[in-house]
Amino acid sequence: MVRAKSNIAKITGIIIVILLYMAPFLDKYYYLKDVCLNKSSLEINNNGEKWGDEPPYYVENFVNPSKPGVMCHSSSIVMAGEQKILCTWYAGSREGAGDVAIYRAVYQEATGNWSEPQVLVDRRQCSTELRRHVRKLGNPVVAKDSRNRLWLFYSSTAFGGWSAASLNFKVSRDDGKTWSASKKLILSPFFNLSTNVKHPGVNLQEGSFLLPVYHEFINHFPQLLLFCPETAEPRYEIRSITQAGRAIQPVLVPQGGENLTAFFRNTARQKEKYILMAQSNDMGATWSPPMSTSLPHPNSGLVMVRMDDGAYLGVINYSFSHRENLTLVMSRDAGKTWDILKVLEQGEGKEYSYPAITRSHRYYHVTYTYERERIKHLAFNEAWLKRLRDHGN
Amino acid sequence: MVIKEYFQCIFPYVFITYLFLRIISFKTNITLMKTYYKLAVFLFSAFITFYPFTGLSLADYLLSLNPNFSIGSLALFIILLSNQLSRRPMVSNRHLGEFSLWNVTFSLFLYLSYLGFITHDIYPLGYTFSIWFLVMAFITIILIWRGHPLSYVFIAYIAAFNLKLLPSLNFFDYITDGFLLVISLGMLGYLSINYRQLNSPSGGAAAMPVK
Repeated sequence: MVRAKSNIAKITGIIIVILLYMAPFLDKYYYLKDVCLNKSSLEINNNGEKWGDEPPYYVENFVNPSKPGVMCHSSSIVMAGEQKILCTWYAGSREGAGDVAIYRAVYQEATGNWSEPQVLVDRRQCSTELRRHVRKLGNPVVAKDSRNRLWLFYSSTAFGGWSAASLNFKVSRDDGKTWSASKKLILSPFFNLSTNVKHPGVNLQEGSFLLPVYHEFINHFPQLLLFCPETAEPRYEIRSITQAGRAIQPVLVPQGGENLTAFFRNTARQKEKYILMAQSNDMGATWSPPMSTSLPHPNSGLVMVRMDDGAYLGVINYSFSHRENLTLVMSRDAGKTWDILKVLEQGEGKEYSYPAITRSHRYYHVTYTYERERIKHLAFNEAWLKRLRDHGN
Repeated sequence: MVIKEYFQCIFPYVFITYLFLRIISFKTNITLMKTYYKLAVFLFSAFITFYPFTGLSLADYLLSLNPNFSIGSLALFIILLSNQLSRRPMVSNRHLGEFSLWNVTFSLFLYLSYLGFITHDIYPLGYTFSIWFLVMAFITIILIWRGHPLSYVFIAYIAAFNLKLLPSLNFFDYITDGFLLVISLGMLGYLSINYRQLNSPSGGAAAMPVK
């Protein structure tokens, strides 16, 4: 009798377990089938517009004024409304200091002026919004999804260095005028260590996007965050791009269809190293092993973008050892060979680094760290690039 | 969303209450304490855990260090707390040892795969149903069939995941976390030192020395 009761209890328990495990099964194969995480419904959102025949255009200015004792670094830019560009960066007494805050400024293409920089989030605000201890703030990345929402992803640490960083996000539905409270993403199984971000991603259908991130604790490797904000609470998944080599800060370049190219900052220990590159033919689910390009690399930030004719345009530190130059490069054969279009900056003992790039309806906009004191901005059009290509620097 | 906000505060409370009781147990036998003394300890622990002394509470600081305490961590400290309070421990030392061994084995496998020391990264397979869910279901069914007391913890993993009680969206984060790995390693060390007690005829009835 007792044994029979025990067996009934066990069978009941087993039925409960089966039912409990049916829920994620149904979630995946029935519910999520109609939502954004189903790969077959994802396509690259081609936002490119054909540019008309305009005269060559090139302008340069500074996003923020220089202030004594203030360092600034790691800019990011995105279109934010009609003929407006939003730039974010972090600034403070030194990198990793408690007074570092994330700033924003808006550029009006019509007037060619930047607005006064404003604090977007500082350590105290971040701590209050997250209800967590925050030691320092790091890289901000601003991106726009296919439903015109702006997303700010930024790193913060509760303790330790950047290898203890984790990611937070804010969202704006009014082109960056107001922002939601910060929320933390859980992206790693071990104390949520360590995820950082450097570049915006690739938009997918239905407001979803792929955000390239990277891991720096014990091992260095790039990762891809599939972010789907359409459910009541954003869903996201993280997966490694590759765990071979020491590639970080992936830059995603969509090739059309389900094809993606990624370029990586190379943190390998050898003296002469090159920018790394990998390919995916299935929306980033699987990747080729990273291969070296012919571009010399001093272990610094870089950015790449695909032009209308399929050429890659890059802004890099063209050196094995330093960040004293910032150079515009181009490849017209899918990254096999590269041409130097223009040396944008050159200064012995100076630093020009961490470029960011976006494309408006008329121009390419590039921002980068200028001697760690300011964020510099360049705007140019395709006709200017064509002239460089045809006639040299 | 609201449930998630509150649920993640349970672990810091259980953890700090357990630490209090451990400290008190050096001076007095907790199982013989009057009920209102125990209640006072629980209330004091709640105050210490949730009062924002510096703008943030102790619970907030703990969650800053580890933003996702797993169901495994919560279960372990509920078991330890219960063993402190009760004369008849909820789970024996042998079963605690098995639980710690499971936590260490699974955690190391997960972390090594995530960090790229094993070719196959299993972590992305925890977001939605995958073969690993079947593996976990199979282990849970075996534990239920054998009448193992830890089967309740394994049921709690998937129940909590379905209810989305933790900040993480990954099933593996419901099973383990970095803190649980560290504690489980300590538990295994403690239990191996007390190996003789573990092999005693009672099967090591008390999980921790209960005064």
